[in-house]
Amino acid sequence: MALENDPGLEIIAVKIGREVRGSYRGLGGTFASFVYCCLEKKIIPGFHEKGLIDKAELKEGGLLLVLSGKRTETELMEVMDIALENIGAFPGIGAEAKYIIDVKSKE
Amino acid sequence: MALKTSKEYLDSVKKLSPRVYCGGKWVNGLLNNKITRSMVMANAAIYGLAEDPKYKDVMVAASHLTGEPINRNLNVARNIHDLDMRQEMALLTSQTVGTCNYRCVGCDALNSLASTTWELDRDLGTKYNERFNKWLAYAQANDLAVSGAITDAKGDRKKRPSQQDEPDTFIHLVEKRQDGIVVRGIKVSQSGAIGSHETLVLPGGALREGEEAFALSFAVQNGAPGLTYICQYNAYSAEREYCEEEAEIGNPVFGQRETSTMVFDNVFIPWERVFLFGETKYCGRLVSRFAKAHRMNCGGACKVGFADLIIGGTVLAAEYTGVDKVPHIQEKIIDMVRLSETSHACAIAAAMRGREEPKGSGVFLPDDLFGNAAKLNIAHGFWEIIKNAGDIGGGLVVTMPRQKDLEHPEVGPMLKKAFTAAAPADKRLKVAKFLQHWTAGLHGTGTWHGAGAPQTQRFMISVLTDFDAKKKMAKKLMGMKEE
Repeated sequence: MALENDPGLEIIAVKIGREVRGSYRGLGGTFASFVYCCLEKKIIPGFHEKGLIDKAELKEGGLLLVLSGKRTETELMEVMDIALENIGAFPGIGAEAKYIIDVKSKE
Repeated sequence: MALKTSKEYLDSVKKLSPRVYCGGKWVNGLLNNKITRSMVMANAAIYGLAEDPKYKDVMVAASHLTGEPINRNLNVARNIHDLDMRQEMALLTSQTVGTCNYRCVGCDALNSLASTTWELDRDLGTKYNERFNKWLAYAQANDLAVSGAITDAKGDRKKRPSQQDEPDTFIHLVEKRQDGIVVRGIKVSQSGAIGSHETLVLPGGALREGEEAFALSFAVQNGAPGLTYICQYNAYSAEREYCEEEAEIGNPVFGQRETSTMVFDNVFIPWERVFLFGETKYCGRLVSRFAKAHRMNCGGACKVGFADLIIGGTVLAAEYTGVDKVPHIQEKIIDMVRLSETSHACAIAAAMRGREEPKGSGVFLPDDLFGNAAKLNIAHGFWEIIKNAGDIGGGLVVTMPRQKDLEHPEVGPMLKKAFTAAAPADKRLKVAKFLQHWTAGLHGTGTWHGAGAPQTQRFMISVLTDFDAKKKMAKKLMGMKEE
């Protein structure tokens, strides 16, 4: 499919620590949906309870997301994988990310 | 990947965690709950049909956007053949799962959107069609399960949407933002939305000037925060939930039609997923185009697939009781076939008389009159069909004991003595349970209302029929002079 280069798609990278741990492809507006959930509803897609987000703020080219509690990098990635798939983005590789979500654990 | 396998669909559902409430509790994993699992398994079976080379012509189409093979559930009909294969898909899927093809409403909704967004852009210079095509290409490339949400909760039917005491009885705009819109409101009776990757939302009907806040169409992701699905719950739900073995149920794997009430509590929709925003004038035609497609498919073909299953079960019941050669039994079975095939004939005619709408759009929609006739015919015919199934199946259809009781050391032998006829008791009870599912279950009323209650088809038929021309013909033949 020619969709890899389609300008209607967004590539969202998930960065944990210094590394990009995953890359997701979604329709345009996927990042905006994710940001709205985190900033306005204080909920991570796929996780219905509040309190999972300790801090969420927009920064240049992406979002800083701090999750509550103590979580390993693997656990953080598991949360993000569920979150992004529930908002309509799927794992994808090969293209440059338009947005980066920088994910950290509070503790 | 343009075609998902059944397994790939199931794997994708395992990652979805929509907010679903069913029978008094929140669902933690769609495959972990017996009721929601039946819906997901039906969808998986529909994906599976596209893998079978035998059904390729029916289940697989070529995308008009990319040329790639796609599941027909995501295809925009571009010619008569597409329409014909679409109604054949409705027949095949219902014969296969004995419940909804949960991608069916989404398919008809996307065809209506393909047509109406093209028209909007032509008339108003908007970019809805371009936006819709991007969404569709994305859905096709990922072979998404897409459901459709049309029916609003509606509230007091005497009042317009904006006059309701409770504004949430209709989906409406809460906030217009630079990056999208925020919506709230309630859609009801939504088949299979819980296990779909996305749902296409259409207005519930025609709207007037001043009702722009309700004139919305968009695609929403399954797990969008703020979206809650409240599942239907009834005696058949409880039976599945609490039975020892699902094999005992009338439709063991795929179950009854599973719907939910979708509650939108300030859900954000990015502009890339908005396909109609305030254009009230186009709401009526968006819904009527959906309806004409859905009446051909849901009315004229899907329910015919159900009828095929009911007729099969009824013939087995007659054979197992030893009445299959009795003339009035045979007559009733032939009546069931007549009613069913007449509706299918209307669906085929609706496809064959389909046309491009609007001209230049490249989108083909079925003939209105035949589509409405198909649905109205099966709405009435279905009650006749299940009446005959109950008649031939006998009182056992509703008085039968539990199938598993045949294994009980004390009552089992008594039951075998009671219910063995021209076939062993276990076969008779299995068929009786199957017919119970159809005749005493949800499908009668479901068929009546699905794709619109019959009064809506009567209205459409009255509008579409040229009664003056018919009067003129009659007068001419009688030799009566025109006044």
